[in-house]
Amino acid sequence: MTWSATTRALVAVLLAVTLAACDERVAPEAFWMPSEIATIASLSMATLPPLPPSPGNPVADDPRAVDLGHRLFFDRGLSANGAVACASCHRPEHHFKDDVARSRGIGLTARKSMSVVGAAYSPWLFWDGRRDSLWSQALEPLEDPLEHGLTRVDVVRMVAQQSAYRAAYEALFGPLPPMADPARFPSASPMGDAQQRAAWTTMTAADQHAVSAAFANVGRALEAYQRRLQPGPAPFDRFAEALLAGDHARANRHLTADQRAGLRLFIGRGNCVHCHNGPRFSNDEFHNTGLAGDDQGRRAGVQHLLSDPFNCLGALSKATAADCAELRFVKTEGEELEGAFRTVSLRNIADTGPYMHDGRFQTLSDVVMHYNRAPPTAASADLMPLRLTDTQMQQLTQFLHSLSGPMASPAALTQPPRALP
Amino acid sequence: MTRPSSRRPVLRGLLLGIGLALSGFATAAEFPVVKGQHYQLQAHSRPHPPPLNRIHAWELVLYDRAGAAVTEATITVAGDMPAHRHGLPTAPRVTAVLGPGRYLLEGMKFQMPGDWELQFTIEAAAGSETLTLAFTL
Repeated sequence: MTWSATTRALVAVLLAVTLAACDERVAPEAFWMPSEIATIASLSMATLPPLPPSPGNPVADDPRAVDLGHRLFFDRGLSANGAVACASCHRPEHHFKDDVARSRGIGLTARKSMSVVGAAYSPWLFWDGRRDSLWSQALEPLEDPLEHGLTRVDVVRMVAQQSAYRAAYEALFGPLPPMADPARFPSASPMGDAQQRAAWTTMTAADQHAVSAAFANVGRALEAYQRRLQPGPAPFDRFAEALLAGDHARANRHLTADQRAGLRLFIGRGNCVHCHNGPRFSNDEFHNTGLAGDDQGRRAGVQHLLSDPFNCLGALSKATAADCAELRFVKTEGEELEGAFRTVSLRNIADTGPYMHDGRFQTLSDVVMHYNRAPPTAASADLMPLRLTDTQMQQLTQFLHSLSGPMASPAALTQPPRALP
Repeated sequence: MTRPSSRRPVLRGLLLGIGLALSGFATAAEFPVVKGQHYQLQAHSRPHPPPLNRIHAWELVLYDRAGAAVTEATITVAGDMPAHRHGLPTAPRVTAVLGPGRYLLEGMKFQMPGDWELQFTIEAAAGSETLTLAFTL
């Protein structure tokens, strides 16, 4: 690298000013390098862009769809045993995830539920990114025998048979298929058990398509609701705002000295910001953190994604190819896909454990300790041992507690809907 | 405290300004031209510098050593972060020819700040060659 004379001069001035600052006995924790300030700004909620459009969902921002999705989200009737709603594993009091290692619907699932707060920003859903929109993500649990345990015909029939749902649905999407005839529309799904799959083959192609299209619309209403679930500013954001305004005294009222030290580690030696970057503290991509075991993670997830009829380019999507850049250029090969899981957002991460895809860590301290040790793995891993002291690990954990704040969603949407009159 | 209270904000502003100026040097308005034995490649990120976590397109302009546009080239790209054991999160590819020697590269995405290397493998009449563009995001 060759530096120009101007650059060398600037560096000299920078050094001189830094020494002058030291000479003034500025407390070490009060001094932030310009590069650190730039990184802090990039993490601040103030840089959160507007919600991206959902090209596969024409009603994504329709308040009537928000209302329908809100009701569906909390409806336990939307399950084979009448006991499982979306909200059973995406619980408002746990930041729209749950408090167990592996989520339980009708049965025990393989992984922990992910928060849906802010999920509308991510191009990928689930830990392995096997769905590429919030509306298509909402469909899979409904048909999973371990979660809601329904078939897609069951779901559409339920909407058709409940007058309040039916009216709301048809106002948004047009007429439902004539679901009353059980011979023409048996309890059937191409994704269910052997009996349900066999029943699916007795239906005409036109009826299969009509049911799948209506099923997709149920997902679109659920997406419209979940798009409104957004994270809100936390103490870290107030710290960042004051710091960027040059008011250190005000900034320091929002983070403790330990939290500020933890922040410095987070954006520096801890390397956390490599993956947990941007205002949601996530790059929404996939990394092997040495915890996969026999779970293939993204390697299997990307294959499910490519074969999904509800994906961005699929027959049941309403998006155009131009809207589907993430899918058109998705990475399908490479050792880094093996055992890789999606980076979670760290917004409201404190007190919402257990953590990781299989909930193996009870506390944030356990997570930080894992990253500090970075045990070697056979597969490609993104980790290097951090060699932090116990105190530094505690500071990092303390910093993570500064990322929790009330959601930026109307209170009415963060609790069950009021009963219809 | 008797120290004048106005000095520290001035210092901070000066430091910030110098820092921004330095980072401006690091991320010039365009990438440098990469020169090889057969070819010269000018890569343009749209926008520049490349955004983090957002899929976007690049325009590649390919010349021969004498500065003439190279047409009918096949260009493939691979990305790498030498400090990490991974590359790009996407599989970008050239999807269109925009003009003589001008190629549209779609599907570019960077998921991490840090040091990146992009290897452009070029197949054209003059032969095969891989040119490497290194930069810090």
